[in-house]
Amino acid sequence: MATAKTSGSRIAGIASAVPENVQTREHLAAAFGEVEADKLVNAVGIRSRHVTEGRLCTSDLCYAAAERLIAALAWDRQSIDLLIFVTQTPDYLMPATSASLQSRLGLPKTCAALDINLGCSGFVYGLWSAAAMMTTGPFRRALLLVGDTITRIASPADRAVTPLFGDAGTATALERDDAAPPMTFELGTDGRGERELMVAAGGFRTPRGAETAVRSERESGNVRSDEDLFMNGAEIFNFTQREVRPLIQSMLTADVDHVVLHQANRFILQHLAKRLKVPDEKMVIALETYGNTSSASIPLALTTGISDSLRSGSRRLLLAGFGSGYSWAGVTLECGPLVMPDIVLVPESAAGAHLE
Amino acid sequence: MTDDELLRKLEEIFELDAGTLRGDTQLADIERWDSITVIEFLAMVSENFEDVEISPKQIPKCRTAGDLIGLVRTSVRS
Repeated sequence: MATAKTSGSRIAGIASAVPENVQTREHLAAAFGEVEADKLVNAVGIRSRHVTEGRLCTSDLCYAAAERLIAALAWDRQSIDLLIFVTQTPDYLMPATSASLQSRLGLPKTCAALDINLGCSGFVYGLWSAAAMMTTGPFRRALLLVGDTITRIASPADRAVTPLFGDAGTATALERDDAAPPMTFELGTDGRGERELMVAAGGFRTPRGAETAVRSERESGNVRSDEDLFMNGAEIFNFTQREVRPLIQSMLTADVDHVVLHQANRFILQHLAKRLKVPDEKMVIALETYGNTSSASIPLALTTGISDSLRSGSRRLLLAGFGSGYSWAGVTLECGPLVMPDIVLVPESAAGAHLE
Repeated sequence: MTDDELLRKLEEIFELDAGTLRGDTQLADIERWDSITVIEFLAMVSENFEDVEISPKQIPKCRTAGDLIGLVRTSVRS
């Protein structure tokens, strides 16, 4: 595993945005029946999820979060010189969505902008990228925009994914600060897992076609197409045991105030907490009303689960994301007090508002 | 952990009355045998057998509760 230490930058604030529209257990009952709906809700610990009705893009959510955060920090937009957008659900195959967001947010042309294509490990990878660039470059202020609209690629008739996923976009502000304590990252990859959590069609290996769009019955009676998200839950569970548990174990020290892992589902978080002996008061579980929001889940859990703690003082955090790739990343850092505006609810009508 | 103790663990996962699950019980006859309890089974094994890692590919080959126990016994990590 690669270990990387960064210094000279600090997190100034975090904001999150979700679609206004909410899906509940009733949607699952309509798709899978009453008994199955209760089983699914109890197993994953997710009662409701904010889900786009089909028009909002990740960029719309991240834009809303970034606008709220820039206002709360009272940052001069001209002072923002780095924008990193992390998602697996971009606006287009090309160009990079970060370019669109640079323009939409009114950031200067001197702003460096790039996309990173990572899922549930993406927030920590993005934080490492931003912090590392700020260590070496001339950057003063960075926006790390991270999110996904996985529900747009989840088949409603696939019980392995539909009960789990919600949509969210987040914005994290980083600022150059020579006195900031270092952040220590652990990063890893195992591409042998590429087929266990994937959308097979729509790229260049398997372009979209008439056949890839057809939904048919697959394993365990789940119905989906090759353009839909596939998740092999049992293989992913083994992956978390093999790679993620040792990762967290190696970074966990007694002085950590909050452990915030990718909010995959309640079952896996409770299992990891039990095996790693993380006490309940330190283990953040904040998915009951948002679901698994992919790359957004860690910053969303920070803003919804422990915002009072992070607003009020300096805290030592252990963050770890893990998922498609397989890809995983952990960080220990000290941050706070942070600027954390209340969560933004984004109406469907805000989709692509800059295009009109 | 004995085979009987493993059967009791499986009963908890499948929400069956204690003592009702037998080695020859067909998994297809267990109402709670589904993709959720497969993961609960993997978690139970991971908690109780540090040196065992079950390959999910082997699970569809199991027909009975006894087959699951056999899988635990033969899946010692190399």
